[in-house]
Amino acid sequence: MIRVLIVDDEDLSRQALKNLLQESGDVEIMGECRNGFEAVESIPRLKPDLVFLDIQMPQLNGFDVVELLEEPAPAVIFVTAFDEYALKAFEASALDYLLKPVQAERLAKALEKYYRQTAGLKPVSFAPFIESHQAHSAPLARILVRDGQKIHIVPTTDIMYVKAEDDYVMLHTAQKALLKLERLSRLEKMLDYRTFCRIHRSFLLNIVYLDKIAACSKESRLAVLKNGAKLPISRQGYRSLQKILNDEKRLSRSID
Amino acid sequence: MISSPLFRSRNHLVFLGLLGALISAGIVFFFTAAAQATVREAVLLLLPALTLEMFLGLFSWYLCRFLPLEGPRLANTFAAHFLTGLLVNAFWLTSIFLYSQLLDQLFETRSWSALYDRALFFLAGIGLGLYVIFILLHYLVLALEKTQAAEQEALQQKWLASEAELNALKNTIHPHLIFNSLAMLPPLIAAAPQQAELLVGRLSDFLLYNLRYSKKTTVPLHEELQHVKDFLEIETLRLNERLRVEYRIDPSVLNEPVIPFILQPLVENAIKHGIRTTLDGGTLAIAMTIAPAFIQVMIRNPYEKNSASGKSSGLGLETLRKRLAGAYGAAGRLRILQDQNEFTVEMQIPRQRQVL
Repeated sequence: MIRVLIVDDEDLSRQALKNLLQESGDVEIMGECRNGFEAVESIPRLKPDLVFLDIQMPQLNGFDVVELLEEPAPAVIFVTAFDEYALKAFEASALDYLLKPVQAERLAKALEKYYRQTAGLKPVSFAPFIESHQAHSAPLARILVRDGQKIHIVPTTDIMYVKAEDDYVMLHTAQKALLKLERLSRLEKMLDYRTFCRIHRSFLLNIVYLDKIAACSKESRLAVLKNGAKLPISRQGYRSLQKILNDEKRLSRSID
Repeated sequence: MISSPLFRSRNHLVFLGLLGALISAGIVFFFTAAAQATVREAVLLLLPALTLEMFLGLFSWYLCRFLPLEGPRLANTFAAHFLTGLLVNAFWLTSIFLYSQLLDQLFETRSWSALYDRALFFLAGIGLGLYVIFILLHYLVLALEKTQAAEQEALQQKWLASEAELNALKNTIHPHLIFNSLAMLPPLIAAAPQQAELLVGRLSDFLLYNLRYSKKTTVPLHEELQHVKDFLEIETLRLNERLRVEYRIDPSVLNEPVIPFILQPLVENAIKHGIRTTLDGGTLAIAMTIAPAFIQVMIRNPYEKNSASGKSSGLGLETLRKRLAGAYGAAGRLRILQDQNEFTVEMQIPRQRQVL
C-alpha cells in the first residue's frame, strides 16, 4: 500500500487524479493540499511515501515546495499543465513528470517506476534539478525561508544585506532578520551581481541601501547603511564595491 | 560630386552617359554652324569644356539638397541658384577662354581665341542651359526620394500592424485553453456530467468565435463580451470560487463596432497573471463606459507580486497595443496601472461606424 498526498490548486485536477489512483488499487490517499503552503506544512506531518505535486500553483509553485522540503523528503511525481517553461525544465532533467490531463497508462508507468526505485534502485535526487532550475532563473527575484511552520517569501529587493553564519545565512530586511540554510558564496552567485556586492568574507550588501562609506582607520572602512547599520568592508570587498558603484554611475550617466 | 544621386547606380550612369553623348553631339553640330568651324575643331574645343561643365553641374547637388524647392524661403533658393549659376558660368567661360589661348600656342592652324570670341554668346547660353538641366534633374531625384521614403514608411507601418494581426490570430488558437479544458473533462464526466456538457459547449462557442471573426475587421462589442463570458465560464469551472467576476457595463456600448479579439487577451492576462497568483483568488472587475468620442474599457484584478509563476512577459499586451495603433492610430490607447496588489488595464477605443 502506497501512502499518497495530492497537491494541486485546482479542485478538478485533484479529483481527476484521485479517481485514477483509486482505480489503480494499491494506493491510500492520505490527503489533499490546495497550495504549496499546505503541502510544506502537511508533508512532514503526514509523512506520505509519494507526493503528486502540481507545478503551477499560486505563490509557492511545485519547484518551490521541493526546495522547502526537509530531509527525509518523500518521493515526488510532478504533475504539470501544458506550460513551455515547465516542460523545458523537465526535459532538461531526468525527473518523472505527468502532463495534464493525466492518463491511466502514464500514471501506471510512473507508479511502476516508483516501486522499482523503492525496491532498491537508487532514488532520484532533486538537489541537482533544483540547483540547475535556480541557476536558470538567476538572478533570483525572491528567496524562500522556512521558519518552523512559517514560510517567508522575501523579495530580493527588500534584502539590505546578508550575513554568513556558519552553514547558514542571515537575511536582513528593514523589518526582520531571517535565517536560511545556505552558503553565502552560493547565494552570491544567484543574486543580481549589479546590486549585491560581497564587501566582506561574511557580508553581502545590497548597494541600494548603502548610504556612505566611512573610513575608520587607515586600512579599514565601514559601510554605513541608510538605516544606520554599519558593516565592515575588507580590502578586496572595497575594490568590488568601487567597481559596482562605478558601473552603476556609468549606467545612470548613459541613461541621462 | 560622387555623392550626387545621379551617380548612384549603374543604370543611372549609363542613362546619363547616353544623354550626355546625345546632348554633346547636338551642341557640337550647332557649334559648327554658329561659329563656322569644322567638326574636328568643335570637338577639340568643346569636349574638355563639356566635361568641365558636367563636374560643375554635379556640384549643384549640394546646393539643391540644402535649398528646398518649397516653403517660405523659395525666393532665397531662386536667388542662390541664379547667383551661383552666373558665377559657375563665368568660371566656365574663363576656363574655355584660357583653353583657347593654350590651343593658339599648340596648333597654329587657326585662331582659336577668335573662334571663342565668335561663339561666346552661344557658349554662354549652352553653359547656363546645361546648368539649369542639372539643377532640375537633382530636384527631380530629391522629389522621387522623398516619395519613396514616405512609401517605405507607410509600408513599414502596415507591416507592423499586420505582424500584430498575425500574432493575435496565432493566439486565437489557444492550445492552453484546449489542453486545460480537456484535462477538466474526465473528472467532470464522472462527477458532474451536466458541467462537462457545459464545458464542451462553451469551448465550442469560444473556438467558433475565433474561426468566424478572425477574418472580420469589426464586430459589435456585445459579441466580444459574449466571447469573454464563454472564456470566463470555462475558467470558473476550473477555479471555482477563486474566480469572481463583476460586470459594470453601460448597455449603450454594446452595439458599438470594434476590432475583434481585444477583450479576451486582457481577461486571460488578468486570470493568468492575476487571479491565479493569489492563494484565495479574487474579483475580476470588467467595466465599460461610453463617451461622445470613445468607449472606455477597464479591467481590474488582484495579483500577488511575490508569486513564483505568473510573471507576465507583456507580449500579449504589446500585441494588443500594436493592433489598436494599427486600427485606430493614436486614438486607440492602452494604459496599465499597477499598485502593490492590484492591476488595472484601461483601454480606450474611438467610436466610429466603420473601421477600415
